[in-house]
Amino acid sequence: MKRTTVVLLTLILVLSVFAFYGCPKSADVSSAPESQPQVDDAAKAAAEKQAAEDAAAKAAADAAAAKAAEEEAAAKERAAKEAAGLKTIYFDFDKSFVRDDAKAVMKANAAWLKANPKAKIRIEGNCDERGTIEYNQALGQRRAASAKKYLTDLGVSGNRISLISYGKEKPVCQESTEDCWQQNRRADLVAAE
Amino acid sequence: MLLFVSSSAAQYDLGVIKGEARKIPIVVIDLFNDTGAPGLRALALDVLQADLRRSQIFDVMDPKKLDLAYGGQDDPPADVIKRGGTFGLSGVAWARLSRKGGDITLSGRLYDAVSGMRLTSKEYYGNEEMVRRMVHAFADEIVSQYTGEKGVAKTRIACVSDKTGHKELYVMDYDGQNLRKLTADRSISMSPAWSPDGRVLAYVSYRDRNPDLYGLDMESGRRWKISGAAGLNISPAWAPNGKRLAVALSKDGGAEIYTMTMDGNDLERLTYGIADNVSPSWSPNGREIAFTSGRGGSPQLYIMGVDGTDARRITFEGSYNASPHWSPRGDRIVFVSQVKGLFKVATINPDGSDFRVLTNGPGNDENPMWSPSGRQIVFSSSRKGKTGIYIMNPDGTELERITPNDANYTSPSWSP
Repeated sequence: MKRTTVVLLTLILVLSVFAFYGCPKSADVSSAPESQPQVDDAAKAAAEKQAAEDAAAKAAADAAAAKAAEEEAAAKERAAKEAAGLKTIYFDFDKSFVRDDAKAVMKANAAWLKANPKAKIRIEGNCDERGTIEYNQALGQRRAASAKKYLTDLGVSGNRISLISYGKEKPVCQESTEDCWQQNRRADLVAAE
Repeated sequence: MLLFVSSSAAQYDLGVIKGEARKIPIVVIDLFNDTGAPGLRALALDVLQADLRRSQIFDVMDPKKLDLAYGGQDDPPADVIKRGGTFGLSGVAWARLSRKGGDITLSGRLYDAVSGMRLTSKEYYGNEEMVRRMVHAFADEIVSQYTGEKGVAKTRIACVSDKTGHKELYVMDYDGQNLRKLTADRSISMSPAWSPDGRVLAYVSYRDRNPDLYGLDMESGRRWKISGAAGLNISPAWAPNGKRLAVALSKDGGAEIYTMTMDGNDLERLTYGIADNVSPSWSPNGREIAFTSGRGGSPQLYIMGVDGTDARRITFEGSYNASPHWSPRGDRIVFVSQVKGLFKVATINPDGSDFRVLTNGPGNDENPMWSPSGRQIVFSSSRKGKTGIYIMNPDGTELERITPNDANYTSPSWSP
């Protein structure tokens, strides 16, 4: 359906271009007032359609570029995090307590922070796609705060740690499966500048 | 609750035409286009009929099926109108578009089909780009003639879209047309909320790397930070008098509900829960606030006084009920409820009785909200393709998607 529209539009554009340039030069000078508006309108409409399509294509390209840039930034952040030896922990649905399987990870994160006493970190709380935007923002905040409390209980100074919740806005996995949801219910520990 | 200012509705109750008994049968007999722009007639006619249908007041009949024809350029004569009356119609609408240079005039007429009497005669002025808005205004005039209520055809819906790759704030007409981008923050925006006078949009943005609350003046374009406390500054809701905002802040630990002025001053804390409290919505009389709280172990709806006292739980069915919005008449609350793993739109009485799930099928529904007339519900849904914005009746019928499938559209907020 879309394809035929595009083909049709292209055809109209090509035809109207012919209509323009097919005219001898003298026609331009004498300018036929009767037929000109029609050609003009068709050409204009086609040009506008084309412009709209170009704009749409550009917007899509911009969106793709923005997405690519974002992904690159995220990848860099991940790389920096890995280099820093900070590791993500994962949570149960609608829960913010540090699970048993996350405790060893948090102890390693605390050890890294103690070994690098000047480093500051930001804990980013995230959720899976289920539930409302606003409730997930609160849940993400609770997860980040819970991770922070675990570190301060292990003796890391609280003023080295800042918190942010992205709710369900920054999933690392896009599918609606339990495996994917688990990857998204997380707190990322990021070295802060 | 219809307040009929015209006797014509009573005539319909005598019932000649079968169908939806509560609706007023009306016909748009013609729209005479004297502008020389050939597309305008179909456009204006479509918009007018769609507006009347969406108002939920009217049963919009097809003049051709009733064998009612009038193609004249002057106001239709009484015998033509009364012929409609003999078919059981209550109202006959007619309009003419005319042009003077670049200026377009829409002349709208509404007649009582039984007596042939003219009920309203209005002229709307603008240009070709404004024809939709002029027709919306005429549709609202017709609604107001029969109900004494303000129609919704001139209202707008604010939302969030990721068209550019970032979640920016947008605004469109209530039928999804004339989409306009409001922000260029290249960050994440969410949760727009119109002030009751329609002048200010409060919303949340991560542009300063924290979820902060902003105000955007829709007339001047001025923008300011309402609240930028550490942690969450989210889910704004205006008091019905427009003087205060209820919001959720996490500056004291978990998310708690506060009220403040639109400059972020005069902070008052309402909840002291051990779990999250978000998504406040004021009762229309301004005395109570519905909200989502996890205090009972799962997210559920609660209501409290505006001073934070007398909090009580109103939802007991299901494991996840959230995002309440109080109807303009105060009689129902719309929210989302998790049903068999998916989030669906539901309504309930403020006393917790009469829990009804309105939507079904695939995908998740989110952020439901009443139209200012209370005759429609808007929400976002991932039921088909990308997430889009849908409107429907308060009983879940007449579902209509108003956004295209080119991007995701979320967080709808219906203007006053």
